[in-house]
Amino acid sequence: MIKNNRPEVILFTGFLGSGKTTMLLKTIEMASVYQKKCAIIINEIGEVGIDNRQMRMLGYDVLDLFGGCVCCTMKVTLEATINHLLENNDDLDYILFEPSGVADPLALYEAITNCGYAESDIQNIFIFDPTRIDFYQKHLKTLFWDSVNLAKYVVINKIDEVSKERTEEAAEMAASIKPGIKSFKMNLNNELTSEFSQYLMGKEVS
Amino acid sequence: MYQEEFLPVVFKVELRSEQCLSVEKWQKLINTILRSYVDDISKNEECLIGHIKALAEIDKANFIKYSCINDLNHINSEVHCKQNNINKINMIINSLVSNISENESCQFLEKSCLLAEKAGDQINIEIVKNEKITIKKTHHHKENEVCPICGEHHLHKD
Repeated sequence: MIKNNRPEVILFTGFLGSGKTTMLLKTIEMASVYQKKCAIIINEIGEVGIDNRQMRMLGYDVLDLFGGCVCCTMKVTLEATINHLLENNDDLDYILFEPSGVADPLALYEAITNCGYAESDIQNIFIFDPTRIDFYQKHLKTLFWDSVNLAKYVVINKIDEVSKERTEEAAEMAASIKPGIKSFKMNLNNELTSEFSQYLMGKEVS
Repeated sequence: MYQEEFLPVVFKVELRSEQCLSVEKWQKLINTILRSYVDDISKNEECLIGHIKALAEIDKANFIKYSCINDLNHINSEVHCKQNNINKINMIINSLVSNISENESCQFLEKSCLLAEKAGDQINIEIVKNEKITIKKTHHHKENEVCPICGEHHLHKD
């Protein structure tokens, strides 16, 4: 359980290009509707971040974790960032964190639990791109296995770009690693499904 | 995890036209450039595209964002712009591809830009090299305090 009314940590994991930033934006929009205050942390590898520039152009204030990948060189920085947010923002409802798409999700947990969260407190949503099933099977087995194992839910994105069979195959891949894991199938360019919104912010909307 | 494999390469590109063009025209033009760039990269089977994304900045609040994950899928683009006609765009490209050098990646992009210039519309495209792209720090600590995030001592305006 989250202690002392700490903000809930929502972690958006998934490989490069899976739709994490789109998911983050949709979550911010939804939180805004319910007048929830969010802190946004983005870790992007590369000299210049595209996502944080986009966020700023949309009017959002973003905490950048620059200089490397958050699962290795930036782990301490993530911990400092979360602690800083907790110490200086009593009224935060959510900390939304988008790590880099090449980060090892397991390595992020230590920084978050060091800030007083239990692993079970972390709302880890794995975003899966079904157009790249073959790529995952060939090149990203470890990432996929680790990500699904840690995730609370799987969002299968881009369902408008693949057949129903391919979408089902993606869900089955996730279930084969973590039996019973809930998969939400959607196109994140559209609205979040109401079922998923209930799962994500159910306590607030009910 | 895969940060050693998909090394990021960043390009800053300045696009200008003699006459103002519609945002839709710019959107298509940049799409053509990125399509050619992605197709050239994909000719080498050893090169795996992790993600190629670009932010074409029209002004402080208006942009077109592009995203591409391979040569088979279309290049996603999202326009967030209220302006109609413009003659200048600054673009940042973040290219995460395995088994390609920065130099080779740059050559592919230069070739793609050249093709776009020759296609007409009196477009001038320049890949800005050797220029440090500055990042605005927004670390939210009090003035004269050591920043808890970067561990440095800087002012908000830095």
